[in-house]
Amino acid sequence: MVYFDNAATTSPKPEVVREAVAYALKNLSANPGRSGHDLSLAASQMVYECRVALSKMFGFSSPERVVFTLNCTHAINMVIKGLSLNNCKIVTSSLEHNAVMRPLEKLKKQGCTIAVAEVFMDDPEATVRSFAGLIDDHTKLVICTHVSNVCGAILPIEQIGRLCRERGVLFAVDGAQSAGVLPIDMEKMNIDFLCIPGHKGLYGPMGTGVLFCGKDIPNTLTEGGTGNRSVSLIQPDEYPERMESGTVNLPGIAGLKAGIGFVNQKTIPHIHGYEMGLIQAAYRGLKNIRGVTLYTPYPQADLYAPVLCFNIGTYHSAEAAELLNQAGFALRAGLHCAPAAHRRLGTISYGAVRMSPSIFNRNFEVQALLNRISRLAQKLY
Amino acid sequence: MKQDRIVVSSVTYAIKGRDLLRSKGFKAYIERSHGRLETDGCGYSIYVDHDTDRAEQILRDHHIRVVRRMGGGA
Repeated sequence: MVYFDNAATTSPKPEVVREAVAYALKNLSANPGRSGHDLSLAASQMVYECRVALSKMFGFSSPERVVFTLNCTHAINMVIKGLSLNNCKIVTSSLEHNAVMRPLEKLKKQGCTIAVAEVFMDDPEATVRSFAGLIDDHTKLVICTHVSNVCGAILPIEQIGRLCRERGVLFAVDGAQSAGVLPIDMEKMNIDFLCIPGHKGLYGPMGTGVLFCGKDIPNTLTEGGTGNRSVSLIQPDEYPERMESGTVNLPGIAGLKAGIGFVNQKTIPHIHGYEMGLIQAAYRGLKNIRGVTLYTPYPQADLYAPVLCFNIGTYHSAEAAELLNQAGFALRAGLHCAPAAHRRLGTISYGAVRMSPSIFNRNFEVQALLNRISRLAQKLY
Repeated sequence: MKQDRIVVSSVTYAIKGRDLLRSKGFKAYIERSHGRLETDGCGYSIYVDHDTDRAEQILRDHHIRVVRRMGGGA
């Protein structure tokens, strides 16, 4: 199987990640932050080292405010629901995943209005103007994706962050598709809350996500045992324990830490450049296949991350993906949990096929995929 | 004379504080607090080999929440 579904989760995981998970299960299998014996302290040490590694990677100066979550969606919910937003305006983009759109939809019941800023694929300044036009005195939060999980378009989050800082509005970023693929510096980009998965571009195991809390979050989604201040029935206010009730995913965090090391060793610019080379080769090839529809301009590396969507003739996207699956290629079809983005691209009825490579894919695999798509398209004409 | 322990509010602060104090030349170790559970709940403390007052001030200066000091005894 040639795996091109890395926007869903990266596969394979690097050997160092698999080894770190196995090592943790064998040698660190104690509850971190709960006990005082050596094994528990060793587990706590590893968890803390992962917080530090994450802080360094994402330009964040407070490792104690790096919160482990189940996944990126969990982190986003902690922000949106934790901020106690009532009767205010929230601005988001036209390319959002349901991880953002569904919690926002729920906030309408609390009197919030949701304003959607148009994203202009190849004109970041126009996108910033679009956000600027929607932020007003009632706006409490701007939350948007860094990269579309459907078409790979990069949003100009540094400029949007500056805008939020100037207007005194909180800024949260969904880094699901960019963490490990594009540089993110929370301080430089004025990001208050960054939500990322551990299992995509950081090559960690599934069941890992991270919330960077640059500001306080008044309400918690979950309360319970934290290993500290146990005598009180009030949830402690120290980060990260405040946000991490219950036992954390220690083997997952060990794997995530190894994944961060893997990405650091490869370097983010190299990963992005390499994967964009594969995407650009795919785009050029698809452009020459009669019947294939592409939905973005040529993906320039400064404007796109390595995610590409297309359709083949009159095939439904799910049918095309199934035919590719039968030929040994793993791609994802449908709406990718992002109907807003598909409406924006005009593919809401039948979805699209999405290709998303990782550092482990090779150019010959892209060429093999193009050959197979070409054969599928020829059957239609 | 044994040194006091510095009780901090979580294992995360304990590790961060220990690393900070080691970077300042202290020999510092973490242990589970065995103090007043009815007031502090469970927690962790940092033991340093000398000058606990200065160590505590360093922690406070770096926004590491110190719960209290716990006597080391003679």
